[in-house]
Amino acid sequence: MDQDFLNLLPEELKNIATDLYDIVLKRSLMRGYENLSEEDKAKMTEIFNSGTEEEKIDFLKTHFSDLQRYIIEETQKLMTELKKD
Amino acid sequence: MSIENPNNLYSEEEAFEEANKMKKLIDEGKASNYDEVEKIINQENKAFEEANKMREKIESGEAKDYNEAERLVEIEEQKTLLKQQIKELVANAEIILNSKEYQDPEQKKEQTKLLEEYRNKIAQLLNLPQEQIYILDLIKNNENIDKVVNESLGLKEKSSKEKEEEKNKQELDEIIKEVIEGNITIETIMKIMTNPKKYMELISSRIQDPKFQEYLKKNPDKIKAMVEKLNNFINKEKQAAVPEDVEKAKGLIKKEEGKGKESLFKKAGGWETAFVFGSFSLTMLLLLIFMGVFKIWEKATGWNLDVGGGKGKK
Repeated sequence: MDQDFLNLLPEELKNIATDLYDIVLKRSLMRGYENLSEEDKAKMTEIFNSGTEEEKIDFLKTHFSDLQRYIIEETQKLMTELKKD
Repeated sequence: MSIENPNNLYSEEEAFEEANKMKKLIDEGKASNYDEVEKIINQENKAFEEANKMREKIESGEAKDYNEAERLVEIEEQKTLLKQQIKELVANAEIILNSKEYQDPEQKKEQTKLLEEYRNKIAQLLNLPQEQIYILDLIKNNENIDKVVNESLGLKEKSSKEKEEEKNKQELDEIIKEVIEGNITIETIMKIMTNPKKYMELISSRIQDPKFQEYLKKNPDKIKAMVEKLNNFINKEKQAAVPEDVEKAKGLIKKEEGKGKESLFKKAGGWETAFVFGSFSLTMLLLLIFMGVFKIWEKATGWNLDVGGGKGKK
């Protein structure tokens, strides 16, 4: 359904949708990242460089537990920002 | 309330006010006697009542504008009047059917003739062939009268499915309005998040609206302007430096989202975010697109949202 849905929109808008979602996700992750201690940041680097997929997921699950809330808040912020822009 | 008679709810002040009003109408030459004055006052009251009904229709969302409210009130009045006339005729027919005369074989023929007259009058009022009027059905249940009156006026009782669709449509209009006005709330986003499938379907049908699709085709310049504007915003955002680990985490999340049920997030369990990511992200994106589309069109053209199926701009 996802693709069918996007196909209803002009071609140029499809990439924009992905880019806007990237912005929300990036900003949300940044908020979680800024809350990490230096020690956890170092641990993250280590896991994301040489850990398994499961270890990475586990790290995110443990250290970015507020990500859902951040995504909601960042979505709201982005919508307001674009409106003002 | 009257001092002399406490049961009289019509107060002396009200009586005095009305008398003054009547006198004023005669003094101003708008009426030459009290009968005419009464007629004018009745007309004013009726107009006031109708205006109130129209306001209620708009406030409840039943009508989107004054013209539609006026049409709905008119239909309601027509319906009430017609129902009243039919009910009276049905009541008379019932009296005949229950009468001794009708049971009397000698008088039955004459009574049947009378019944047929009522049946004929009902058929005329409903603009239906007489053969389609079943007096016993009409007597049995008032709902049957409602049904024939509605059918006669070309009104169809909305099914629960239609009512639900209408409710959903209104809800989507409200969300789009929030987005356009730049004041979408956390509650609204949460609502979408908890039921993404519903909103995806709603937005999907809105996008497929022929008027919307036609507008997209006929206005490539406006789409271009909107895309340019959004791209400028995105490019600026892309320039902001982000730690490599954040980029990697983002890549991982997007990769896992694409796997749906097979996602490691889902398998890991316990992380609430994981199971809503995929569907939520898509719904959110589409809302963002909508926001972009509406925002620019609204600014560039003063476009009324009715084109897209939504409510007009306030």
